[in-house]
Amino acid sequence: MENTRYGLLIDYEFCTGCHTCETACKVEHGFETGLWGIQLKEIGPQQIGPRKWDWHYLPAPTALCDLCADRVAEGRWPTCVHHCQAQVIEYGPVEELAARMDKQFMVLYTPTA
Amino acid sequence: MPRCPRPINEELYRDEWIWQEGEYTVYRNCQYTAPGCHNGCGVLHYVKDNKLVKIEGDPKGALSNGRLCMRCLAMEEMVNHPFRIYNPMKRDPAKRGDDDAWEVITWDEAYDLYVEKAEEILGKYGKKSFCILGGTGRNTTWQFAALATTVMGSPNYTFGFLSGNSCYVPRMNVCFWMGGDVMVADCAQCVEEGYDHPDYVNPEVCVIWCCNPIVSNADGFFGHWIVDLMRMGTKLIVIDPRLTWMGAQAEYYLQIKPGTDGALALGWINVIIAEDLYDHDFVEKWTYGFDQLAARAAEYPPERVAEITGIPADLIVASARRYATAKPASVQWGLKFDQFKNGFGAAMGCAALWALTGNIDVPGGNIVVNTGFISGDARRMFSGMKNTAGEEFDMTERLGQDEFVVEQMGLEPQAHPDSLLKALETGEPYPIKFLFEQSSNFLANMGADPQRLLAAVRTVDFFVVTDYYMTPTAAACADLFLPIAMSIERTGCRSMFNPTRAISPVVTTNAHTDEDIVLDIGHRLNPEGTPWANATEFWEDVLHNIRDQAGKPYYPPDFTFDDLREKMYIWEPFEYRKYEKGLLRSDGQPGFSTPTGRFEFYSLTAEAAGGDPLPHYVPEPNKTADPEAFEEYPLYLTTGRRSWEFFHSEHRHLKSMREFHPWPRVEMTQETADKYGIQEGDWVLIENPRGSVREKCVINPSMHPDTIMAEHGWWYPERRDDISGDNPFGVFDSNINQLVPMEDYGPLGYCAPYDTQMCRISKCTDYHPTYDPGY
Ligand code: SF4
Ligand code: SF4
Repeated sequence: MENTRYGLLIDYEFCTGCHTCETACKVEHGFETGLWGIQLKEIGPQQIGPRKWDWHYLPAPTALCDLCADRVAEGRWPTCVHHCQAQVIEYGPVEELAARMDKQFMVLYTPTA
Repeated sequence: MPRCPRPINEELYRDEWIWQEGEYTVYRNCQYTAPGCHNGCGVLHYVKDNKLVKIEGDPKGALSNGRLCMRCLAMEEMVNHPFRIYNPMKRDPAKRGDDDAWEVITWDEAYDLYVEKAEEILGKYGKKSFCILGGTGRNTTWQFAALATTVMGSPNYTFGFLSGNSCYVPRMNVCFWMGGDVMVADCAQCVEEGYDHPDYVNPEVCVIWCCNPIVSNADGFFGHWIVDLMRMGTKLIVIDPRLTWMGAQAEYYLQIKPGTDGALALGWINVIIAEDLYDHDFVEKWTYGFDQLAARAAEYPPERVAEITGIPADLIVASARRYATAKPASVQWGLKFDQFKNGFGAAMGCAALWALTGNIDVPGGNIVVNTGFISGDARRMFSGMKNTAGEEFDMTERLGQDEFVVEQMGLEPQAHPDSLLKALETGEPYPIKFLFEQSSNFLANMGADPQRLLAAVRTVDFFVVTDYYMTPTAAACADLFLPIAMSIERTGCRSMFNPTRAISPVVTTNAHTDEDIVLDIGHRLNPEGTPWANATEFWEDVLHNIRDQAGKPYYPPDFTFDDLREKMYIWEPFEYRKYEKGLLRSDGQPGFSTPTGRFEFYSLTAEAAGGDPLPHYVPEPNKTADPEAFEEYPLYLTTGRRSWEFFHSEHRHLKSMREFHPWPRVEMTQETADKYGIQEGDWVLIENPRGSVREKCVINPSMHPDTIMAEHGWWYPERRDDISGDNPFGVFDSNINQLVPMEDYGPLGYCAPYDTQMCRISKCTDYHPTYDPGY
């Protein structure tokens, strides 16, 4: 099991763009202004049909994401997982997470080496 | 309460309220102001050497089960901020506005000065010449009443110049008058089992009206509950002049012209009655005034409503059908009903819809909440008491009594903010000479026409400000500054609406809580009226006096504040369909707590107050009504939409929040920006005859090109060299309320046009501030 790869599964259909993951990550790692462990990207808003809009946020872990190694070692969830206001981020082995990708607008990240 | 969706490590996240974890003492706690907001989320405070080191959401916490917003996550920066003030300061009233004139004093010296001024000024002008100004939904909603009445002997406490009492007061009165109690969208927040409660049903449709709850979290309502509902299948109808994220996810998004919500409500009622989609059983058994409502709504066919609101008629009809046929359906409403002049009539229309469709107090509908008003329970500890002269308290001299029937009828618990301004400016009906400000910053926020307010308040003999750092209001007006404790330093209780939870101090500083200040001054001026030695003793007395509907105490006489802490969450019993069970009226009969015992579409209380008893729509100033006047100011100006980073005028001094949101934003469409030669990121001058401000352009592709939205509450705490003078911290550069009038409130004195001003815009070329956090 040592070689199990871990990742973050995000159901971005319901990501509200609340910035909690970004802030929690910055506070946890003490990142200075301008540095991010996870960053939010905006998709849209674009009108894709009569009275139909497409507007989503996509949180993306950066090269500074260490999957909250210290927290995980202590027995905690990564801080973005713990605090996400929409509860759309899950942490775990990628195989398990991949098995949960059964709906629209999901993304699986493997940010660590 | 919702539950944490993943396994919880029981070693790290415990059931106790306090434990040791390595070098940290960990406290399970409730976060409730200062700083904002209204929620009281469950948090874990990690403390070392009397200092907060970090904060986490408590996964076992009620309400948000571990989730936290970015402001709470920045709590360490907030409470340990270098700009905080911990010692009282005084200044010669002749030197108001001079930041070099402050002198640091001890608490005893501050209280001595306070008592000396109280005796001198109130001796000369009478006790009623004292008035206290409060803020929004913060942990001061009873303290200001207690201090004004029992301690100072004055009937005058009010909002900090919030014109027309235009925040929740109008909507709460709509609820009280029509239905007898406050009502709120059900997200299982009142039951301990949360979404697993056997009776709870997820709403098929939830209408989001005049709010963006995921950002605002207003009035004890955690906005992301709506996201929980969406994930469980709830569909949304969103009514908002601007498209929001929620609007984009909605089945129906209705882009409404600002201030026309009353017409839309009547249009929906029209469709629902005309197509026979209403709940006959509920209407016949439990409501009053259906025929009058139907007659009023008949004046609003979809075509007419389309013309007024700008929403296509077919969309009005389709969305009305969707709401009426969904079972159950709820409406989460918001502040903006209170912030246009005819908002009261619109809010009545909204509430009427809940009853018309039989969605009142049913699972997943709009539930009646008669629990959780612990600040009201705290307030009652004072109101029956005698004033400083030992007389029973008389409210008939309160500011606003001479102008507002609702004040004369005793329907309003506080003085009228616009009447306070009049009294300051004219000395009528009597002079106000001693002001005390608590948890508000009216030069930056809440007060309209702040430059007028500044001139008015400088006429008083003595002005006390309590805050945790220097604000524009304190800088410009205060003679005595009392530093207040922040949430982690306070003893208190929060319960809106369920459960009751303790707020425990985890560090001590020289700042005082608002409770301490009321009691400390009370012990000097009216010891009999303030018999509690400290806040803990006071809160225990409050708990012992809470009774259920039958008059039985909830808490045993030996129940202590420590018991509350140890239990963490105490759930008061909650039931659905209370009107069927005799659980709403003091006589124990079924029905609602209204004059007729029914939900009143036709409100007898509104009629007695001289108002329109039915839901109504009155046009606000708009281009169709007055084409000439608006030639010069062609754009609708809406204000006050919430930001993730800030609670009203708070949090501007956090560099973490300013990284996300460095400057005030004014939203407009690309078409509008192009028309005025503005590019995204440009500073924009926003003007009307009352004033002008500067905010930065952000393109919002989904607003009406006639409408712009400008942020509220802006000032620049980093401008520490700019504290003295008449524009402290640059507040008048960007405070949008300079374009909003005082004394232009709606009928009965409720609601004010914060959201329905007209303006013009141009590119601002001579304003180039830079941001340096200063720490
Ligand atoms: S897992 Fe930790 S390090 Fe990675 S983005 Fe989330 S909070 Fe940041
Ligand atoms: S915390 Fe969750 S909801 Fe908020 S921005 Fe991040 S992923 Fe989206």
